[in-house]
Amino acid sequence: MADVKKVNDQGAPVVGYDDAAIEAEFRAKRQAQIAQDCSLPFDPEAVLEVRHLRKCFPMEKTLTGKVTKELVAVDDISFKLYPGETLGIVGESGCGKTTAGRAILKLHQPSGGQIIFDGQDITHFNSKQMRQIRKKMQIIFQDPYSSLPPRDTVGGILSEPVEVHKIVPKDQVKNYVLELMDKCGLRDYYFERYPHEFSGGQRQRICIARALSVSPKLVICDEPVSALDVSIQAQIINLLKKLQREMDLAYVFISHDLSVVKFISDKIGVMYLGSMVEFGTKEDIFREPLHPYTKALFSAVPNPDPTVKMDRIKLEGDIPSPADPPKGCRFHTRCPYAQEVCKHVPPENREVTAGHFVACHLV
Amino acid sequence: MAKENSNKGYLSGKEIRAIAKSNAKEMKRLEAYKNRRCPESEFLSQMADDDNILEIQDLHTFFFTEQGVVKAVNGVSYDVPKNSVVGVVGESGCGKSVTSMSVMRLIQGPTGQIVDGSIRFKSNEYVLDGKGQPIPDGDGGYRMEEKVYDIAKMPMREIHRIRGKQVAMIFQEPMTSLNPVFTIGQQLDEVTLLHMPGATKQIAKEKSEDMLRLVGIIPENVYNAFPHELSGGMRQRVMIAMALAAEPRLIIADEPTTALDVTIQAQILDLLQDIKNKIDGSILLITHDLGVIAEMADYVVVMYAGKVIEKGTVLEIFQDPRHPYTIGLQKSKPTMTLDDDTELYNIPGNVPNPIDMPSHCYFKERCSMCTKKCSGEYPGMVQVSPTHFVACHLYDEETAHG
Amino acid sequence: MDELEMKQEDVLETDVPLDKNVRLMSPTQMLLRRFFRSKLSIIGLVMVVGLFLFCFLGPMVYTQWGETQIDKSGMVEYSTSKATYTVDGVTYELHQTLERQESDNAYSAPSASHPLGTDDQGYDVLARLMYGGRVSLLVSFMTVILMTVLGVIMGGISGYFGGIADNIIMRICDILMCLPGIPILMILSSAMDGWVELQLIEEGMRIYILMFFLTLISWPGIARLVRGQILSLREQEYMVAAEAMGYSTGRKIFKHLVPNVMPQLIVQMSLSLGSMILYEATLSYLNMGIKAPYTAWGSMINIITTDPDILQNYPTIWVPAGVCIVIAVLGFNFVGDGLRDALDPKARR
Repeated sequence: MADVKKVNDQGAPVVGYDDAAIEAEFRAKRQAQIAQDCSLPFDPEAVLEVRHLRKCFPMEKTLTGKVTKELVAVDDISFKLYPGETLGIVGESGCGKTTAGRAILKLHQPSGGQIIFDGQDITHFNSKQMRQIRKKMQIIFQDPYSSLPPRDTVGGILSEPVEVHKIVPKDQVKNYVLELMDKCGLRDYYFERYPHEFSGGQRQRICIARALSVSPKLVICDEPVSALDVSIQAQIINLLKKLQREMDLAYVFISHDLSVVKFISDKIGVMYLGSMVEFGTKEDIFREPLHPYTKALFSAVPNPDPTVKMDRIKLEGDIPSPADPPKGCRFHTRCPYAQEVCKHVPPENREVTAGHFVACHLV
Repeated sequence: MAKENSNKGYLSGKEIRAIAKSNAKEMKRLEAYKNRRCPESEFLSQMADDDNILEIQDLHTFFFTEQGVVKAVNGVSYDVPKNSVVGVVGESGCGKSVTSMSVMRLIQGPTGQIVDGSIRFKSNEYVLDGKGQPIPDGDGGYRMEEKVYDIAKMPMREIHRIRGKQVAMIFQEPMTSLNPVFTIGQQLDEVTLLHMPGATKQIAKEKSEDMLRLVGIIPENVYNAFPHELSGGMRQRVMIAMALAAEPRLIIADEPTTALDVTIQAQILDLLQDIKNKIDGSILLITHDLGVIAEMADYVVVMYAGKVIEKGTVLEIFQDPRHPYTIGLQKSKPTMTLDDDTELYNIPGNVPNPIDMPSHCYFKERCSMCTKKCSGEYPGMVQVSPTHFVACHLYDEETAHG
Repeated sequence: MDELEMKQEDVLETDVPLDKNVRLMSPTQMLLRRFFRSKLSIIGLVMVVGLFLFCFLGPMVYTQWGETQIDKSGMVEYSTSKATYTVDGVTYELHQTLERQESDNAYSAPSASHPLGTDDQGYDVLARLMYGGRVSLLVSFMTVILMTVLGVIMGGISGYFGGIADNIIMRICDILMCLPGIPILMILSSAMDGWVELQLIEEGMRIYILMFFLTLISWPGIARLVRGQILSLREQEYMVAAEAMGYSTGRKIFKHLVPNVMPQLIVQMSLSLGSMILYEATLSYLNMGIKAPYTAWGSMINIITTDPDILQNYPTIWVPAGVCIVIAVLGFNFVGDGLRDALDPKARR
């Protein structure tokens, strides 16, 4: 595939790459792959199956509303998630991890690919159909301050979803909520209080309780601990793990903090500029990171041991803007091992060992 | 409303009025003290140890809010030795930032006030003649002299002596710390023009370019750029260059890498490491990230709920932590090398509300090593090694024979 | 060491949370505290409440005179004139006394029976002030409420649904904001003269119809405010959470969005009340207001256009109404400002 070369007028090959031709070939190949994968039968065991998910946002429009330029926030990610499992998605700002999470919940309508939740293809569900399915999939946000309505009491916030979805009969709602609050480590006298009276950790517990009030099967945790203090972080992570065991929940845990992701996840996907550059089980990824970006990310984490001097893989420069991603491999502008081929040919997602996928020419 | 009034969890109207009344009185007094005129002798002081550049002693910074007095900094003491990096670590609301803001006297009045204590800072400034002009020393420079100021006692009109020139600050938010309507060059030049006697535009530009090179930026690309054209990492580099431009003796870095991505954070930390050796000054590094502290700092101060609970060299704090909070903090952070993933150690409970602090140890409710003594009065600082201090009753015996 | 372990169990069992003892202010207390901290808002509140008591309870206390009751106690005026003429060397002086009797006691100076005197028709100024205030306040209140309802609906639709609806509504807003209020109402009023002649409408309805038209052109301010608020609230994570919860659109709008727009809306409403009172007064002053025998504050000032003598010599007839208008406008504005400071969590001092 890397052999597509520029050809001059006489038909003689020119040294270098024909970017347009490469892109066309890459696209055609991927179209075929997507068509093939999306026609596969659903995995009955999996609670969530994402196939080639893609989300674009229009950036420029003509007067008639035709989109002329797009920002590809999530480009072709696929994974399967079984009950009781946690998928960690790691990446830096602008890598599309939050968008991916929201696209899975269909808070953003996906631009391509398939989302199979609980044995149903929900990609093209309308809002009425979605409303039925919402109680089975929930989300926890990063900012515990803006994710709770400020003018409602804790009791009100937690009872509302229970009442709307008629989880329990009306006269049992309060007991149900109190039980839930106890499960999430909230005291019963919080019922009458307002969110602004609580610290970040307690607010995050309220958010978790709200998400779990409708007994979902899948919870997307969008950086649930990054706004919290270290000692509170540990409490929340333990709480999430405890609830997962008790309720057999599947988590998609989105975070930029590798150590947290390592602790909580079973599978890990590393994202860079919208695409998943490496995917595998936690053991695969942490024992033997293959993608240079994963390696760099791991070595960039400051080590809380002053005696260890780490040998860092230094990444030069900044993350390119997702609105204008580099050609070829998106990481080549910062990759310490980048070669000529990386600058022109987008790498394919290859399965190196069973279940361990890497998108890099050098692996 | 009736429901809320009957709820014992809220203050009554009478209490609210009493709080407001006493606050107004205190705030008025402190505001007057801040704005007074006084001779220099009143805020000149002496260092306890001549090797230190900054000595904070028994500092109290309070916020007089409508709900009561928030004792954000409640008797904090620590020193910053010459040419060293002191890391202050603690969770949000522990007063680490308020302490550094007190050093810069950036506490927003009239609500926030330095109530008590002293902040002694050894400044190195130009000797001025009668007309306020610096006196040349004959070597092309100017005559300098060292003075020790007590920043906490300085009236606001004298603060310009230390702000920017002697103590510079690097903020957390690189996005909002640069003025968007001026170019990077203009903002950098201004620092030199303001603080260096006899600086011309040419000199300032040369200096700015030197500073940009020092922080790893090619000046040609950035000097004429506006802040919005730069990425977060670049802006933080510019902020560091700005802080360095006046050649301060002390740089306060308040969470300098928190808002950055991991790979960019690694770049900035490398840069700070590098700069630390190149400049003649100390860095006061404030962060909640133990990893950053371990990599950067020589000395560590651990704060909890407005008090210093442990301080020592970086090795002492990380290899031989004594205070249960420090121990817990280190254990509760999942690390890359941790393999056991059943349950994370965690400190139960929450940071106490800063209003109405108990008189006993603030950590008592969350502590797993409590003794009977902990219900007594707040523990004093115990010296466990020449450089290692801890405020915990568990080590009370060690003072007896140490 | 035993003691240590035992103690730990104790701690876990009793486990009194620290925040149980901490007492904060309830949201209502916080709001009241912030509102009453400013002296101006207290003054404003006193002004507004005072005016309302004056207008709506006043007539029950001050019962001597009704709104349309003319003081028929009459007025007797004696004028004397003297004439001298000489007939045959004898000078005669002639004294003439004329008794002028009028049934109406008009232009009377303040006295015990008329604390603020009477006007040119013999109405009691104080009583008219009270009844006129009712009209002025009522009309402005109705206008503001109508305008707010219209604005919330329009702004809500355009903010929540966006797209074409947003475009159309905002363009209508732009157009309406270009229209000059008073001239349009003047044109309308003269058109109404015709309708009154044709007996399509009653004369007394004129001010109400005019104010109704005023709401039709003054809702864009509220609509824009609501739209802006909803746009920013929609981005809040709790709205995304409500979406993820699968709540219906109606619940999302009325349970989650509208209550959060209310603070700004209340502020805007109290500020608009002031300007609506001014509008009503202006219309009445321009003789487009309520017609005799009924009155409003603006109409009471309108008297000075009919007779310059009143402007100069009888200030008791028109100054009180002017003072009332000033108090009302200032009061509503002070209250509005106070509410804005109290409701804005960022404006903490």
